[in-house]
Amino acid sequence: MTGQELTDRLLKRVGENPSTPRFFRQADALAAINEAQQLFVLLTLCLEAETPLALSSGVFEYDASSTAANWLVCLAIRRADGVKVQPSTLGEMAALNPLWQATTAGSAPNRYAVAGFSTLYFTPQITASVTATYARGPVALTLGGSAEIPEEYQPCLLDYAQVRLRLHQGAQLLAADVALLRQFFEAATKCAAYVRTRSLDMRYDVLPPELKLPDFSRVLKAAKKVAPMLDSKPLSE
Amino acid sequence: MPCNVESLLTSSIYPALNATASTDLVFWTKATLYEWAHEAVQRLARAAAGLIFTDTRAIVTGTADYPLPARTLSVLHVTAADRTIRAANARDLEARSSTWRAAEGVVISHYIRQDQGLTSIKIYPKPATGLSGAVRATVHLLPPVVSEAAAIVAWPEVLGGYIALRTIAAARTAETEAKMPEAAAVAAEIGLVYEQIAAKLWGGVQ
Repeated sequence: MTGQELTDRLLKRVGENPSTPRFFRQADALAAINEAQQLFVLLTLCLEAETPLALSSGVFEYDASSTAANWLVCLAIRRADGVKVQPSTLGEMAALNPLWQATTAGSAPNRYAVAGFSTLYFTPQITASVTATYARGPVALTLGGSAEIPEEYQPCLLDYAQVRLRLHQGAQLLAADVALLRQFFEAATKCAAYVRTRSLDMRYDVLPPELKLPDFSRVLKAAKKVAPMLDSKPLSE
Repeated sequence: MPCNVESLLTSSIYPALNATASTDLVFWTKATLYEWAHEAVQRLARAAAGLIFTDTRAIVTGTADYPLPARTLSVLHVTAADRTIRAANARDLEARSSTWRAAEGVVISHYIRQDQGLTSIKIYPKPATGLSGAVRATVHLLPPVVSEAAAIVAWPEVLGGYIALRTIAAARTAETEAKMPEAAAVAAEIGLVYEQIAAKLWGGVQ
């Protein structure tokens, strides 16, 4: 679906005429859908891309986001001959070779580690070209552009976006719609399960996270009684 | 692509606060929203080790203490003269030698984190004459202060929703006539989902 179709549907859901919305602006609807798509992608890692990385002799640290602007997580790295570079941690690389940051002997990089959002470490440090497969973030949806997540899951973006729009109304309107979040998270969980299976088949190094999803009905009940707790402690009724 | 808090304010935060621009805000100010956005950034930075920096300092003969970069939250990895050195504590080193603080050597083997590991490390043994190279500390950083003058957060753009939701939650929790505990609770709860994801994808820390 295009951004225009999604925003029209969303505005109809919240009782607006898409051609002459009065309470919600089209831009607000589009921003809510964009946020929904970004969260869906984070939950599922359903968008992938590849980028070549040029490794240089003597350099052990690289910032992947300078090569791929929408980089999220490294899924796999392969050498030019197709051989997989083995994933490690910094601790494992140090345990295998305390001088790993200054090892240039070898025929090809054989281990990599990731730290933070996009910092990659390779050993040994050899001039080589490798290909990184990574989970990427979605391109910002515009009215003329199309949503990037699988088409069968695109309606669930409206579920999230509807609640997101209701946040500024609160009260009964929010309470009536908050159950839609459950549909959004269930759709994301289903998609993540598919991506997880496929990622195992592809021997990817990172899988979509398994999460403990919140019970929003409980959150609202609690909010009626006490001020919301903004820390990670569960709200008690 | 990094998060731009100024764009988030316009696209995602003002609309949830019944405003289209900072001039429409009735119960809050733009500066206050930036403070809450900064608190959100700090909170997620403590939930996931996202920002990584490798600091390099030349080895100085006889000097055991090397400063860590400002805003260090934790130390991930340290090398001295390209050799990985192990984290230790004073008790470990005292067990090795009661004079460990004065010991000198050309093979550095351990480091300890001083001042809770936030401002400097002490390497053991002290570099002796003849040892050259650098002490490299790979650390996890707290992002710099988010403000109108520094609105870019070096995070994946997909985490913008977290900043927006936490800012909205804080605004709707503040004691004003626009307080909405239910909206704040839902926004904060979705924020917790982001925190779980971030910790699982990029590594939990403190």
